Amino acid sequence: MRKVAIPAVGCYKHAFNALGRSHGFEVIDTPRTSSRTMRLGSEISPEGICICFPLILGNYIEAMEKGADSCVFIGGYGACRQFCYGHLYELLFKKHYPDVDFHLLYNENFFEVMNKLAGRSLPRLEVVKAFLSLVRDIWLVEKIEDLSWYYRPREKHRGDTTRVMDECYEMFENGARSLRSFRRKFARIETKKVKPLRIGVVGEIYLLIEPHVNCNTDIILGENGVQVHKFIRLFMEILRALHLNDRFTNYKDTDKVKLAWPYLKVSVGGHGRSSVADMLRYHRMGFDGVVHLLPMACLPEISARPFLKKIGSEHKFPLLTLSFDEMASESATSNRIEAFVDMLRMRK
Amino acid sequence: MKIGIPSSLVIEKHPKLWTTFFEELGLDVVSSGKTTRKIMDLGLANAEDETCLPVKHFIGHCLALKDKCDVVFVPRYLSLYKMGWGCPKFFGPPDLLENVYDMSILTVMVGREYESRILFENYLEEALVTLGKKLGKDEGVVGRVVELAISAESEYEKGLRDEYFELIKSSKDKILLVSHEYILNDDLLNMGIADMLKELRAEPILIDTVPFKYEERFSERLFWMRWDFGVMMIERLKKALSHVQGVIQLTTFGCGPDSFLVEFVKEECDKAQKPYMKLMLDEHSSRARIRTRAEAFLDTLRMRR
Repeated sequence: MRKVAIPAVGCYKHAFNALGRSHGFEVIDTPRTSSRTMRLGSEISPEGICICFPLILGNYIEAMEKGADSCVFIGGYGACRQFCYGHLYELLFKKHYPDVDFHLLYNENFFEVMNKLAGRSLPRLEVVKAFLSLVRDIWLVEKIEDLSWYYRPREKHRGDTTRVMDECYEMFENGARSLRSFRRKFARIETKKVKPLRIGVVGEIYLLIEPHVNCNTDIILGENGVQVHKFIRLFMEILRALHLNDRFTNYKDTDKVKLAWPYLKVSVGGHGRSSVADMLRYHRMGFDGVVHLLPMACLPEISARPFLKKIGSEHKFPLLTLSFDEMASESATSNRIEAFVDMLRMRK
Repeated sequence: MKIGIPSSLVIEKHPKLWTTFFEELGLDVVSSGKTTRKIMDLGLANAEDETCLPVKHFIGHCLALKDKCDVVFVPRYLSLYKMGWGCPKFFGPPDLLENVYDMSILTVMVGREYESRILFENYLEEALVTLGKKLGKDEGVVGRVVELAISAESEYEKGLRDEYFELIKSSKDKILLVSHEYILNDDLLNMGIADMLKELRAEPILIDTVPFKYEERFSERLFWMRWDFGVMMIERLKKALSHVQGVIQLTTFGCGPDSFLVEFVKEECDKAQKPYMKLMLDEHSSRARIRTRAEAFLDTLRMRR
């Protein structure tokens, strides 16, 4: 049976782990991203590439240490460097790990990859069902995260929400799929009556998803009494790749273009234009501030950053930009966020 | 109307095209000229911290032109050919200068934002015609001027090709300098490395002199790389490798495309068994450091023989 490595991105790894169970291959439970992952990945990565590259490579290497013999990666779409990651991984794998199979969803489509991993020709309906259940798992995992964003600023004892979240993920791994049961677990947390601040988080998608890279920004914000909201999430991105995202939301892509038009008339690649449009939308929704997360020297986000600062000063809308690289530390991030949140409280 | 043209970034890809076009239409053209320390400092003080060095250099040039002209010309290079893309940092500057730095900008879009996968097509001509219409000129006049501009640019490129064919006959050690045009044509950014190599009795060959046919952009192996300029660089490198003795690549701090083009250039040099060196330039570089590296590289090269 083939052992497959899929990058362990944040909470979504629980959704990916369930993929191969009934289809004839096993997805290795990659260890959580840590500084060891960073070190393993950056040994063979090119210098100067954005932080996402060595982390995913480190995930693959740690999975290979646990016995993986195939790796899968999605090809990127936009104008930023992400589209070349897959091809660079192919090059590096040929040089350093020639025994491992590398599947890139640009060269092969989803059906072909599933057939290769299962080792036999799967009926099309089965593959479609596997894809749909993967998408449903991703949606459920995001709902658990939403619940944690709601309860963390309201919790009475620090650490309760994180504990319940981990318990829910364990239930998920063991097969629980009912959203009601997760809601009931969260409702048992002791809360205090408080009206939290609302902050929108914009930026590059990998940083929004992966807690180790952004030094647990979600947890720091929540423990400082802030309710977090994000527009860019994996479920919507998958729908966008299938051109179905406009049907599931009333904040459509054309609205984003219209919102950002006075500042930015074309897409600068990746989620650059989304960051500008989302910041304007948060301002309209009456949020208290925006936090912008980006890897160091990220192409689209650095192009969008001057526009965000201009919006911040024009509309008097508070903005905090944090850029992350290998040397980022949790205490520095936590200091900056605490100071920002204190400033927001004093404004009210 | 006086039009200012910054001699930096995308304009350096086609140095003669835009100037000829505006002058033939009867408009006054002011160039920002050679880079001075003052222009560089203006760019470093005003641009975003983590942007790449060429974009800071570009903003410095544009800000230096602010009082010398009525509008500054900043073309938006989305793509040169269908199914291709320029670097994302080329897309932003017109809006950046207009909305954040409050300058009056004349811009034209070269290429399309959402391309369709049909045939090969050249977007530069289309952009020139659109620009002529924007300036309110008559169609016939614009057509004639576009032809003049394109022929001036082709003549300049022919001059570069002739220079290349001359240089590869030289008996000195030939070193190929791989980089983008806006670094190779600017002495402050590249620290005068071409002159340094000449002093050390080597012959520098700039990669933009190597001939390149636009149809070659669709080579099988690099079809997935949609960055026109990256593909051009690697195809040119493959052609020139057999004629040179060594390769020096000049990258700048924060350059996105270069961070992975380096891997592909290294791979090609390893296949052809030619010595390869990468030099990272940033605003703190000094000439002495570059000279030491160049000398060491040439010594190693010569010792191998």
